[in-house]
Amino acid sequence: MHQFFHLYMTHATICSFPIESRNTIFFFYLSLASCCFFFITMEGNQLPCQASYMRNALFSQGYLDDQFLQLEDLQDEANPNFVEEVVKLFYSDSARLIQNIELTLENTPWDFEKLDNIMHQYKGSSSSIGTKKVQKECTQFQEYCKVENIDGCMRTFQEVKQEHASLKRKLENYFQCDKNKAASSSADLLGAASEYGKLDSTQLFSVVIVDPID
Amino acid sequence: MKKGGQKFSALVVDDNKMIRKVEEKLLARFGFETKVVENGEKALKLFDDGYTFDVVVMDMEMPVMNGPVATRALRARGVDCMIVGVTSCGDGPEKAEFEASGLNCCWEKPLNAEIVGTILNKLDNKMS
Repeated sequence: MHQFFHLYMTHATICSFPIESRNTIFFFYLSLASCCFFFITMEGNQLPCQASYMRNALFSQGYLDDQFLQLEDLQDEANPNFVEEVVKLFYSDSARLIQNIELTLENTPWDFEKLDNIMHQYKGSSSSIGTKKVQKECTQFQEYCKVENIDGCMRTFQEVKQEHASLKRKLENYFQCDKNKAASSSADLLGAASEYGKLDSTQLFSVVIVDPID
Repeated sequence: MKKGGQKFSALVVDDNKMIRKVEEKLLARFGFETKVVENGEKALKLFDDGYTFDVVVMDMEMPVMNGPVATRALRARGVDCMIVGVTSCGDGPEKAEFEASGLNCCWEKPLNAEIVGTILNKLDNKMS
């Protein structure tokens, strides 16, 4: 962002010089400006695109459904981190439920009713944040519980854990990227204002003269 | 909103902290003044302490006192406000039992904007 201010001040400076010396100065800074614009385009657009891309991918790849949109809709200035807070609560609670299922699977004879109840709680929680993919595995697990198919339960539970961990990583990365984007935008604005305030007449003219014509 | 500019009041009864947070925020977005408790027993205590609500959003499965037991107890005490059940059980005998305990209606989890809008419409129609 501060590069824009440098370019603007350079342009204003060039215009203040006699026209004969402007051409040399102009072409020098044209090449410099091209490099700066390329850099700005890459840097300035990279972070916003990453967060948006990650978010869109979570929907297009079937990890999240409309319920997540409802959570985003509830986020406002009074609760700027609402979605992340809800997701953290979910993962805190679901870690406990997954551990309970693991312990229950280790004990024989297997208590299928208990397994079904715990998975029912997990499924209810996960539906509240819109975790679409993992719910299918939860339903499958409950089907296996009803017919007391322990192999099916164990196999499906592994898939539940994998989906659970995979989405957790993706959401953590997304929230971090989103925060970085917000911090970067704030820093750019502050940096630009700071840089503009620092420029004085010495700085304006000291780097400009390349080939003055007498 | 009620006549006289007062807000509708809601009580969320759910043992899951995350769901309480989401439902409270969702109801507040629709203009409800909301309280939250973690089981049916605590809901009953609020009513016994003199609190009143325009709507109770009652989860079905909770420790200490579940939704059906709490709903029956509230109706037995003469509580006639709207009690809306929420469950992830699907259509089955458990849901039927929950509805028979005295609910005005029962919805599949999760609570969303559409459901809260429907609740608000029913309350507005009741007031008018």
